[in-house]
Amino acid sequence: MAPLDIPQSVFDYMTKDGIRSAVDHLLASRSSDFPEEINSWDETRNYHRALLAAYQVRQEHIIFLIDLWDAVWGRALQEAGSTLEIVPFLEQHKDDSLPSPDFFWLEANAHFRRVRGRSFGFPVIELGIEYWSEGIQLYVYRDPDLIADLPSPWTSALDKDGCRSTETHKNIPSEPSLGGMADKLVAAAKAALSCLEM
Amino acid sequence: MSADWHPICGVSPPDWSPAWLLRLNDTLASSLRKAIRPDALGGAPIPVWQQSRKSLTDVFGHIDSPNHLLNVPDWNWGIRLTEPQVTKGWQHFLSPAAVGHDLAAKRVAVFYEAICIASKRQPTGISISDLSVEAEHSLQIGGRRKAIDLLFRWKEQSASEQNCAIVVELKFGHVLTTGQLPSYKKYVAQQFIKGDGARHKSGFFVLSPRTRRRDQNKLRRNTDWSVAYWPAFLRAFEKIYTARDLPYDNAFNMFRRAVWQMKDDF
Repeated sequence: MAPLDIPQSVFDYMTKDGIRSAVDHLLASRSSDFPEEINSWDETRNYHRALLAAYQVRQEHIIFLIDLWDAVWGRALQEAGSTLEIVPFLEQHKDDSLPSPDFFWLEANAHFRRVRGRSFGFPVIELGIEYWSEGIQLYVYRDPDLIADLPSPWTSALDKDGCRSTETHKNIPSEPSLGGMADKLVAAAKAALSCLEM
Repeated sequence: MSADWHPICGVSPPDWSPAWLLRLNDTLASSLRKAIRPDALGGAPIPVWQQSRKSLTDVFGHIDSPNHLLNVPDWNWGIRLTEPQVTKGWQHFLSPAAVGHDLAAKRVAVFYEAICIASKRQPTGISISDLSVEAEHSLQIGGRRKAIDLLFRWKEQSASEQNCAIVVELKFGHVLTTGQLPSYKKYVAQQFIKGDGARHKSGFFVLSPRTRRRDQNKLRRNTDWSVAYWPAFLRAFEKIYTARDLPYDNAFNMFRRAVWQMKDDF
């Protein structure tokens, strides 16, 4: 698999406060409202170019998260020969947080997929990945609190959302290239899968 | 049925063979393909990020500058600044007493240019000496006490020194009172503006959210006053301020960020 890089737009958004504030400001503006900061037709043209830049960050981030999930959880499932399978959209309910663009963006830039075991009664598990300014984090949610202890780098306690997550501070990308970080994340994902499927 | 007239007039009919038409079609299609940018045919790609990034800078100014309000973390103290607090904040950060004359003069120049741009007025170059910046400058009009929100006064550095003044009424939803603008202007022009060129350098501004129609009518009757809307003013201020080599001041940046965050009220 080709090495996965963080898109430069997303990396700048995560590492530069000015860009993040500008993009957040543009994305928060409702398209039905006149943007009061523009004052002429020339500025209107520039404003719409800037709006495209903000959408670009959002879309590239969403697509990056999907690719990242494939590169980490997808690869781990495959390499571990896992029997877990992804729950298709068709079988998900309206309140199951299907991935609308807003959901992707507003849910703390996390991306998870629901998986299930083939055996009867195996609960649905959410396998998630998140890239935020604090770093790249994997998390697992299983309802109710049935998650076995997961080995390091997984945290021993459940976080506030009832998830078990990897420690983020070790996974802060300092450049768009993920380098060896992807392998570390796959190893952590495989370690979790080996416990979850027991 | 029409007769074939070609033999009569000695003209040979054109060759309408399909081969020629097909060749013409190829030529036209090839020219079209060359004329249209390749990416327009295959689904336009997302712009290169460097271009997009530049478009953010075009709108907001140097967002990488540590002095840009967008570089200040969003603060959430659960409070909203009041109109007098914002007025006094501007006065503080633009005042020679608080930041020294040199820096205050540079900031006032930025403020003046930004409010001119936001109000579609042509800024005139100003060179400031003996600057004073007052908030809530009190005056008596018709026996009633009034206050000018922000009053900038300075001497223009030229061969014959001129006394100039800029008045800014800062509004966050309060409507203008009748008679307020002409009486302020008359008072300031009589008291503080002296010299032939001073009128040209001086200015009267209302900084407000988008005005209601009745306020617009008041402004229309007072053509000496220019109106600027907060978001356009702040954006212009940031563009000019971050383009100049001014010292980093976290407190001033935080203050402007706080005003920017009031945008939902604008």
